[in-house]
Amino acid sequence: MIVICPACRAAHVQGTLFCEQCGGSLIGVAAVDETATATKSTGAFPPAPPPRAPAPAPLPRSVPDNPPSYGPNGHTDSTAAVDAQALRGAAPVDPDEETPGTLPLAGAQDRDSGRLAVGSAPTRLRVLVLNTGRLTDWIDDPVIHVGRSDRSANVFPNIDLETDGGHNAGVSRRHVRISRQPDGYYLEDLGSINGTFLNRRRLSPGAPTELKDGDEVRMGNIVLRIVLGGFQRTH
Amino acid sequence: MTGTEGPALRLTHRHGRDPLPAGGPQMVYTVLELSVTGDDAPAAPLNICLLLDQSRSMQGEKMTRVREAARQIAGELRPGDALAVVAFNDRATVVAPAHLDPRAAAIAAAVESIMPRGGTELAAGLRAGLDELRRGREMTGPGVSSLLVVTDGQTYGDEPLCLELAEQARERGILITPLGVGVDWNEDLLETIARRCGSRSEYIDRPAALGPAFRKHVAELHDACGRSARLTIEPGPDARLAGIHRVAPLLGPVEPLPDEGSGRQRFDLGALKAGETQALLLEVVAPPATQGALDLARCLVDWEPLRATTPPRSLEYGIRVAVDLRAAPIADLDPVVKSAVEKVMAYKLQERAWRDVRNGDLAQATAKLRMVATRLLAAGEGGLARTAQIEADHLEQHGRPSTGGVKQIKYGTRGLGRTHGMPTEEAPR
Repeated sequence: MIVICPACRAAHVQGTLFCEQCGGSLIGVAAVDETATATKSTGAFPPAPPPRAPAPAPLPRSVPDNPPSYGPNGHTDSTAAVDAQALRGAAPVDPDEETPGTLPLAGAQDRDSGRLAVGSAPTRLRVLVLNTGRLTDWIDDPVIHVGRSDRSANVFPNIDLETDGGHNAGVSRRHVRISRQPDGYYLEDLGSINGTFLNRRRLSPGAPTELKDGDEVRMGNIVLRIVLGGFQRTH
Repeated sequence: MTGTEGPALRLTHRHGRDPLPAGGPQMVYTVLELSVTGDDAPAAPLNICLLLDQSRSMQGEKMTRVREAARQIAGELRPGDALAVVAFNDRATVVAPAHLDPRAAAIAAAVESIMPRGGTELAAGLRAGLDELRRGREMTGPGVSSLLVVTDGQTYGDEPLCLELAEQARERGILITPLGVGVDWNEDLLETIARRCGSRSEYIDRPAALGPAFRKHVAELHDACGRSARLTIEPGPDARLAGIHRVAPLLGPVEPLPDEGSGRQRFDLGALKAGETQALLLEVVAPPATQGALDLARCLVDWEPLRATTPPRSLEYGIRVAVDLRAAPIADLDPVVKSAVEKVMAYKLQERAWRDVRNGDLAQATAKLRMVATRLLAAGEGGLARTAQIEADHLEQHGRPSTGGVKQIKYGTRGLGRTHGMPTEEAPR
């Protein structure tokens, strides 16, 4: 079994937490059978020996067949991720899917296959306001409004960007809504004046778009970085 | 989980997931912690050589602060310690030869005579500094020998010789600790020199920080209670060591030592300090298993006690993990191990980002720095995350890193080791 990075499609040994290739989170990404997905292997993974019984108590001094060599940073070459594209033999990801000149961000969706059949979904969220360095607390409300507060209009969003200079930065009172669905969080522009950009691509108002760990959201001149947490299993 | 305890060295470990789910092969993250306890013998004598850059660029406040710091160091030595001062530019000058119990006034007068001029040739300075340490050791006897290098510039053409001298220092049990002042020095070279002999470089962002850095260095040397600590790891049957990184006290790579064959890998852990915990993150690919316990690795730590006239010691330690058919594939992760993995990933990504910059691949570098920000943010390091984000924006807009940006992020991520083991808000619910 292997895990394939949803962002860059590098393949890793099951249990790997972060993609060695792009740094994206693999937490909650379900393992898949390499034989079911692979058409060719780069050989970075050694053939899996059959399951065996637990080892006896004293550690025997065995000699692995292929002791790995160490690179300059103390990591073995075999740490490097496998190009899952080669494993899968599928068509390359459309470069237009991502902002030109940048790698896909952490947890970007596997747009070919959608979510894997068995995985996990985040249950809470926090944001870093990059302009001011403010980090919000974790929020586990199912619906989160982001905008700027206006007492006279009785608007009090869950994430209030007024103190971050939201008014001058062009943030609307009701700018975006973030909704938690069984399969993850979705971001929706609420018809804001200056629009919302997810990873530098403008969102259409009223069209919820899935939000991933590490995504960058620009609202007017305010830029937020999204962190998702509290992953729980989904089926 | 606590394991075999030696007379003074203590090893413990914790796994990211315990028990592991059945199946495999699978990645197991384990944090191995080493600490020295119960060593109340008197501190070993110090044998210090200050190697001071006297090139023209050190003129002004930098040299003033260096002189102040050198005077302070002389005042903080204990009876039986030795100190030497060597200055270098295009050539090396022994300003104050190695001397037992030096008088602060004599050191002050010596460093006052240093006049900044000329260029920077580090190898000449290293060679002269190592010579002085050899003389100093004859006076102090066995103890802690340290070459404290202060420089603000690049050395040209003698890098291979510098690394060779660092190797010689390691063989003689000498720690080389470079302090880089400002933004123009070569952090790759100085860090490599430091790592070669089990030490580390420091980034001094302003001259006023030199004094505290000197004092901290001397205090750490006084705390040293072991040297030449070496870790040998032998993976268990069918297991494979995929990576090893230091997570505390400072985050960074672990210097590999020449392979001794037999599937064992050796690493230099440098000096051991009383009261300090060294933490290492091991990434082990475990073989398929069904139920019971799995031997992941056997560790052996060799080290030389400094404070007692005892022979070198060694401690063996086995790392096992339970395997349970009923364990969920997505189990709760140990928060300390997860945080360590997250920080190591941030460190590795920023290293790769600078490599991309050197290779001219700015798009990849920018993307990696943005991911560094994400990883740091998830690890609860909002301040450094913002620095990484700003640096990514700068790189994208200007096509080059900002002044000091590389050092800020490189040494900032390395400093994340100071929060190792502290609870984070990312604890699984």
